[in-house]
Amino acid sequence: MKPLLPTLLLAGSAALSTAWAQEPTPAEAPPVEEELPPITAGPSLVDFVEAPYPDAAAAARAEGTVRLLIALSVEGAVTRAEVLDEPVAEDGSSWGFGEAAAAAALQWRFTPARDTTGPIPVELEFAYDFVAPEPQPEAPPPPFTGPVQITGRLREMGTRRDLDGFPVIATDASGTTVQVQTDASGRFALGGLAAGPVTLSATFPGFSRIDKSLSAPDAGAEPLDQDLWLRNLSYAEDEIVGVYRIPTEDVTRRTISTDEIKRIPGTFGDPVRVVQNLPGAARAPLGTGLLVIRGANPEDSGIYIDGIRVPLIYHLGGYVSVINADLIDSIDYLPGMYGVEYGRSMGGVIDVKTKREYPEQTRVTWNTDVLDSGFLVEGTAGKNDGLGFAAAARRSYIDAFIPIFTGGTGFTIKPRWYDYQLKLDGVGMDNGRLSAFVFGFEDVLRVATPESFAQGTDQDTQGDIGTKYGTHRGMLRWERRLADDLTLDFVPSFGLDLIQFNLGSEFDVLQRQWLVELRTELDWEASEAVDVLAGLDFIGGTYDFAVEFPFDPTETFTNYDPLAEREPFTQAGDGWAWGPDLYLESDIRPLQDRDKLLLKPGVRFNMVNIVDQVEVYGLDPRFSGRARLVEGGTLKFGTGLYNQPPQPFESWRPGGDVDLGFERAWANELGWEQQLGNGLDADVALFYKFLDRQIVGNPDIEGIDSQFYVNEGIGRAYGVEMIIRQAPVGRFFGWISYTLSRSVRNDYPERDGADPAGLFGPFPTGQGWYAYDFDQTHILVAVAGYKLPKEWELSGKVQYVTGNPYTPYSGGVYDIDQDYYFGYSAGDYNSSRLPPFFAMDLRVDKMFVFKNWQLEVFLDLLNVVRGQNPEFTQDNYDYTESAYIRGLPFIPSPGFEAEFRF
Amino acid sequence: MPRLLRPPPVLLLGLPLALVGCGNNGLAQAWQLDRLRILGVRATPAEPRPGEAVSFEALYYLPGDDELELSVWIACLPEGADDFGCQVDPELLGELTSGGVEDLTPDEQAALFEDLVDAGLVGAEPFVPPVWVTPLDALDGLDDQERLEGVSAVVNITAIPKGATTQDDIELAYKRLPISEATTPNHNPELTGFVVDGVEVAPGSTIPWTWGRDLDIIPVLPDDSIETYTYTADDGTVEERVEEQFITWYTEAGSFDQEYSLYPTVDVVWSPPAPPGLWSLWPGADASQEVEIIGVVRDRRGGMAWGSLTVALATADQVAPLSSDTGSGDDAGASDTGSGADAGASDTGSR
Repeated sequence: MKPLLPTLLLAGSAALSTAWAQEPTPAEAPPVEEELPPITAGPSLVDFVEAPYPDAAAAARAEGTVRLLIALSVEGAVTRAEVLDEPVAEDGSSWGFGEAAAAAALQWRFTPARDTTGPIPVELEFAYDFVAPEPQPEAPPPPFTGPVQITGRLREMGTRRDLDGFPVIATDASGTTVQVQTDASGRFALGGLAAGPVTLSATFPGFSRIDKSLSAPDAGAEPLDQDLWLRNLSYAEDEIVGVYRIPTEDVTRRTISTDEIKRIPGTFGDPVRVVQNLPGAARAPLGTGLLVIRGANPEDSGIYIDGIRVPLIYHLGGYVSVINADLIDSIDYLPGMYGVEYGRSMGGVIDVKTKREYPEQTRVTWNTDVLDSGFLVEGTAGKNDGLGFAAAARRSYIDAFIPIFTGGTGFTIKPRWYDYQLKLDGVGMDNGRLSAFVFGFEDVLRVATPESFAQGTDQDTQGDIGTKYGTHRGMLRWERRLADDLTLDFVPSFGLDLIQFNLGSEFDVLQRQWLVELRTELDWEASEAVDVLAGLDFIGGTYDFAVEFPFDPTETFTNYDPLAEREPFTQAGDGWAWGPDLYLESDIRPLQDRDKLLLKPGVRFNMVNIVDQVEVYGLDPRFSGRARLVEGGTLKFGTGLYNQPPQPFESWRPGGDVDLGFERAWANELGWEQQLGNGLDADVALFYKFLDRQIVGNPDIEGIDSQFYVNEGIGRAYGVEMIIRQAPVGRFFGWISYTLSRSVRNDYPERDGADPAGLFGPFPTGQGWYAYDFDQTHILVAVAGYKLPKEWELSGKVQYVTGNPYTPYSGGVYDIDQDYYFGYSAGDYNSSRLPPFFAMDLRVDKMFVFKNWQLEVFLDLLNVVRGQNPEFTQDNYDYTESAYIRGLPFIPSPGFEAEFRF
Repeated sequence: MPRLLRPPPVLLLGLPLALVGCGNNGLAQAWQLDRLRILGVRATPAEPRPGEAVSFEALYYLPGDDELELSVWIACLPEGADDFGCQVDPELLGELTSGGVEDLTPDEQAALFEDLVDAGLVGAEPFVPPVWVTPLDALDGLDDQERLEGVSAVVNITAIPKGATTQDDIELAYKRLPISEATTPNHNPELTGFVVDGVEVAPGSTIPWTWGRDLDIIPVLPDDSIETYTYTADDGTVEERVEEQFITWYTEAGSFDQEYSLYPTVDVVWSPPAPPGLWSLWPGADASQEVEIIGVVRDRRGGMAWGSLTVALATADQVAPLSSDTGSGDDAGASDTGSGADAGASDTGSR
């Protein structure tokens, strides 16, 4: 009987060949799983006990793979081994493979998985291959004697990976067989063969066999050099989730690993967009990336890249994120009840984590689709490959195509974007880790119009339109274990945010911010039961702005008269601001079984000082917890305050203080998680969020010197979220996500529902409670993918979402001087709803493997059912007719990604 | 800078909307004449002083054989106006627009009339021409500088066609009327003709034209119609400013390359409808195969003028070359009469 071939399954993929399970590759987390920060070191199998081959199976020469779900303690001990799948006899009876493998697994020992805080408990999926014994030759081929006649190197096709420990067999014309094993660099040397025709063979489970005919030279002559290439039967394995942390902390942290979900249709291969298919996230109109999480405004959700706050995560149009998809390791999606390390936001949080593991071989990828092209280079360098590096860049070319469609109109629409990332990581440092990351992006949208074309009745609004915004950041990260029980994470960063807008020659708005951010965390393992985290989340910097308008914009709100003579309006200013938020949080595990109960109290002190404008303070007490009440079933709960400072434009007032405070949310959540076995789990959560001190327009505004906004609004968002997910074990993965929710606002509850001044046009100034603009009662998303043979993969997504509310109009009054109709509503603000949205997207992927590179081509088919989904309403000029602006039509979107390794 | 600078979410929407969302969706266009419209209102004088009498005339459009039943004019100072013009008791307007005025007794009609006068009634066409004597105290409380700039009074117009049964049948509009003591008060502009295909013709002319051939139209605005006036800025600087006029275009059939043109680039291109029997994106010509085109000029200070052309469509072999005599003489002398009836659609209830 041949030795068993235990191999790690990275989320149920095929065997990892020669890994022999000794060094399981640390992998990303599954697409939907509660998880802490990324695992920085995966577990390695150090003590392996072979499972006995069941007698009946051996007699029948039955074989196959047992998939195990193994739970590891922080010490690396196997605490549980669950059989996910096993081969069975034709009559359905068990061969006993699963029982044997699970029993053996309980005797194994791994090195513990680790993250930045130290060892952590994890679960991993493990494939234990039972291979029926080959008929053994009566005697193993003897080691050859004499000089070497054939040399070579055995490598994996596509990845150029050296194949270590693989058998290479040569058989000459006389039938003499010589077998050797490749060394660590994949090299082999053979001799003892008769000169002349020889068949050189290599084979291994999980790989295709290769036979090469050649002519062996005479013994003593110059050896023949012949490289061999083996084709891996599954090239996707290193793209799928394998090891993931046992959920232990945040109430609702859904960590998405990237590689599995890159193939979800409708995402343009961008993993960040998958967030919009998870519970709590509202559907964004027109496929854009507006983040509406649990009924919060898009600007109320915090976006982070490696823990550093950035203003937005998507490029223009919201189609792709600002980070190269191949550089993203995982995405933490926290729709609510997140810990105190995140602040300054009332909505959800998205934290994009970039890669912290680098291939030993230099890897180059190039991807191209209808929107843009980009590349990534990553690898290791330096002594003992102790320096990891990654560099990526992308540039759109949609601006080159649009003129094809608009050429006859005289209009030129030129959207373009670029982004770049450079990361260096001292992965080999003793007792710590130092990394540097520079990234940035810029988006520009220019609309050029013919000089003679009137864009409206106003001379001041004629001419080209342009907008540009960009963000650039440079950050360092130093992680160091200061003592056995004390870990430091120090992340300073520096950057620039820029927004510019111009319309014709008269309108011009420019705003810049130079920012310094510093996040420092000390994690102290006070005892077995108590872990304390103290942190500083500092943001500060300078800002300057310049505004040029052809008229005083405040008159638009106060006493607008199109016949009034205009005077140019300019405003410029600069200043500085800072906010040194402090937070303290503790993980308390009072029971001997540490995973059974977790209590997590925390508090965050918020402060914002915009010098000479606003100085506000806030305190966010938060408390959450998890309790495993039954095997595989966990109760989760939490309550807390979330303060959010005003937006820059809200706190702007020329020549005066601004009496404006934090907006605030009181969030509550109660949920249940249940593992259902075989990689299937379910998660349901009730949430209720009360909003107060919401910033709304100041109805008492009198002029340019007035304060524009006040903290008068209130709101509510509540509902239930649920997801049933099949982890990507085997060929299938998928999930069904459903959210039932309601989000409402009341802008002026203290004014008895009266329209304070009627100043803001068709806005809900005085009607009391109204549905929030993106209030979507039902959000149902089903996602599934299936791996087909020969590196084909098919995936699909179905969405059903309640239509957004809108305000109906029943007619208009003609302002003769402006030549414009003002609509009057047939109902309250947002009192009607668009029809439901239904769409189906499909995607097919095919990977081609060549000797030196791989090519993955895909075709996204968006809206294959050609749903005419209304996204907005559009009224005619006098508000007597309306029509829908419909969603994206059927769009086939092809693309490819090429990967090279050196 | 309490939070990071964040581009407004609308930027995310801007591109997809620009690419897919704003195409033609079959809605009626503002330049399309297919229903009762109040296309313009002209006050004479355009910028009265307090206590001065002002007469008004409106340019209505009614399709086909429709006729105007009543047009109610109500004026007020800005204190009595909101976003939709003068604030008028809805019940009072309801009585007027319910179509039952004829059923009232003479006493009730008199009482209603008195209530309307109290509410600011200044005209009820075709019975009472709209004339308003601006209040003497219109500028009370303003300083000298402010009195030069003046205030904008408001005039509401409610046009009710014969046979109106619902609110949707009624057209509501309002116009501001600057009342000031300006040293260079505004005057209404004039539209003295059109240059079509290189030939100048008078307003009201009928132009023979060929199906399928675009028509370049340039309105003729006399030099003195573009006024230069004095304005004192907030900082006391005295400026001489030149009016920036714009023309709004309307047509019964066919389409324009743009619905506005701005001085000095005031020309537009009108594309005729498809010949009878062929599909047309926009409404085709009626059986007469004559299409009315109207241009309304605004000087952005409250002054207005208008004029029209009628295009008679025929096949190329039926169309004679244009000359300056083409179709003139119908109602081209409108500016001389002061009646404002320089366009076929301008007489109250004329269509």
